[in-house]
Amino acid sequence: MKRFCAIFHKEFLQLLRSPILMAVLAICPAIIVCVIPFALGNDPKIKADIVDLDNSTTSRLLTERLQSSYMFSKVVKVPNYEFALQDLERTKINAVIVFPEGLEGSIADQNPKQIFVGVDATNTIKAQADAFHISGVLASGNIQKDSVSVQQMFNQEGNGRMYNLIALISLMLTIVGMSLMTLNIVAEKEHHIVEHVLLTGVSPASLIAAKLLFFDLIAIMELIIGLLLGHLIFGLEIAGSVIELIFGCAILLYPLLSMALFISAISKTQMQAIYMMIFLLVVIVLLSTMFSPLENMADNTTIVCKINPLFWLIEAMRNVILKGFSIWIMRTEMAASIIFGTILSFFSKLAIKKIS
Amino acid sequence: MKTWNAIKAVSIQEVKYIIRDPVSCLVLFLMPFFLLFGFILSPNLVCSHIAVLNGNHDPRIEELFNRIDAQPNIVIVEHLNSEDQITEAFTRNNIKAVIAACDEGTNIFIDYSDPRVASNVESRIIGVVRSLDKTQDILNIRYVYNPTLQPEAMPVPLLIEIILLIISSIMLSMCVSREKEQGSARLLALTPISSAQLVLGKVLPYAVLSLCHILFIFLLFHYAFGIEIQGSAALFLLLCMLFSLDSMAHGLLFATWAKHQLEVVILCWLVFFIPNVFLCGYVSSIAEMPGALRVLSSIMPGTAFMNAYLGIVCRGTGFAENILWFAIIIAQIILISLLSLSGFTHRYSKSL
Repeated sequence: MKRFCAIFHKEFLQLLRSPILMAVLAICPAIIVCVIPFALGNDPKIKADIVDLDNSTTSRLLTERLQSSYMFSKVVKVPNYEFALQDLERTKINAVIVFPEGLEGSIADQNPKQIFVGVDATNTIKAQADAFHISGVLASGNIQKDSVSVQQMFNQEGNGRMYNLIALISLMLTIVGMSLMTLNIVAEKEHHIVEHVLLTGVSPASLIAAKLLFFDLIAIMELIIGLLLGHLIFGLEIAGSVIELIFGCAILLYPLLSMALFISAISKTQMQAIYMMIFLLVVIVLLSTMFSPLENMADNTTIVCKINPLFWLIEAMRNVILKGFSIWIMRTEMAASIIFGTILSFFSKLAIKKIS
Repeated sequence: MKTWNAIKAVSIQEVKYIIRDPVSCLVLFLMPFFLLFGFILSPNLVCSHIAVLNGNHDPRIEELFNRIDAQPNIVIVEHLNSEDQITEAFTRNNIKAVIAACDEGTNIFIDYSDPRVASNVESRIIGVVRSLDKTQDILNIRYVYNPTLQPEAMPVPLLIEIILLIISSIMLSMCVSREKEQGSARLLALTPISSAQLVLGKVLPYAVLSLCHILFIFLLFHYAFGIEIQGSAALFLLLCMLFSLDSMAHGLLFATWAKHQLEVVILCWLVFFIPNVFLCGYVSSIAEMPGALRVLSSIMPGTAFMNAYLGIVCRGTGFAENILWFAIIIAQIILISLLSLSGFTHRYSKSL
């Protein structure tokens, strides 16, 4: 226990004596949590050109309806289709709507002509949403809206900012925790400090345990800073219990840090460790549902996603912060984290033991 | 001639360093295969779980549920019995929505914590409800530039950006800060090589390596995803190469500031990688950002790359239309390399 505390103390002093590292640790949450979320979660508005070949009461009514909808930031009438296509090419607009000649008459005849809608589909998600909104506005006269009411759970405004803020905070925790853990150990290996430490009688197990605990605490500290900044600037409210959140994150960070530990135990130089870590980080970040939700993946890939520790961490944070659930619903993931982390730490211990 | 020899010597040193470390070498050459994640990161809804509640056992509602279940992307995984279970249902089975039909009418509860998925699920459910009303569909919607809504087309530019950003910036910054940390920088500073020659010599092997990456990406692009480049392929390659050099310039800047490799890595990830990826217009549309951030975002290399990519690959525009994005990238390469070169030798050799 005494040796464990000594290592812990050493890590603490080492961090305190490196002013640049302290500055980096303080500035990064500030940049990530204070600046980027402003850019996220603003409702994408539609800019559309209208080509009205009919010029009747119906087409003017539809145009007005589009103009008054809050989903559209700009609706302009243009003389012809070629003109609209040019605008589309210069990315001035993202949709073209053409009312065909004789639209009003054909509706009266019960055999309506088709309204043409062209959507810029370079961004697939936005294109589908745009098409949905345009068809919603154009068809809104025909359906009884009252028959169905939609309730937005957990997020009344339907704003994506908090969702992305949480992904950003957990990404920050992971990157800071894992890079510190890996490079700290490999740098000590490179400079033969690990050998010296092991010669003093510290066992590899207590060395590993002290480092894991220390960097877990650093990551939790970054989490608290991130949540505080998020609360002060964006009014992020934690719907669940804060203590449960911190407790859960501390456990769910364990497998991530053990992966970093394992990389450092098997690599010889910092360069090797960094390349392996990039490889690992890019894989787990891409599979963490940060860029593509779980619903969008085929069944066989969701399994890969579900064994990803970063996904567990993000999911736990979403459940507790946004939805206000208890951390208890993540019990399977937490148990898996402990098992996964212990196995990896055991193998790293074997690799570090070899040094002495 | 002397200049060239100096550059060559530094390059050879760097190449040997890479080759003698088989693990790093393997990882470096495997990186472009991250592009294959494009198959996984689909922007389209594949399978969403929902729960339903039919309070009065109304056959018409039962019919509606059957129709919703018949949708390819929506699966009803649970039938609830009472209204008390609605909130609780969201904790299980990754359920995104609950449709509850009771005395007061039909309520749809949707988990809006992720609005993108939520609005997608909502539009599909509403679509089924609408189709029951039998209003004739008079809209003819066409998706321009991506007519089939090919799902792989969307994540590919983001993946190319991630690969080039992180690898190019970390590769160069690592090799500079490594020598600083190990002390061999001081020895190099004693040789008659000027700092510009030193940096050029270090950039050269990594530029060749990233050219390999880009060619790999290009082949995968063509054969694995079958995406056709509407504009000129040469212009696409030039864009990737310039973007990669730009990332290297940023990495060099971090390496001249930081003392240890650890700081360089954290700076590259947090200050360079995260803002570029989140502000490039993929996660959130640039036009909707507040003023100051829109300016910041439009001078980011990631945004310039994204815009030029969409122009060249999707819309098929030429160099003249994308000149602004190329100008931003080239200006950054020049400015940032000059900034990091000034006082480079001084900071480089003073290390530790």
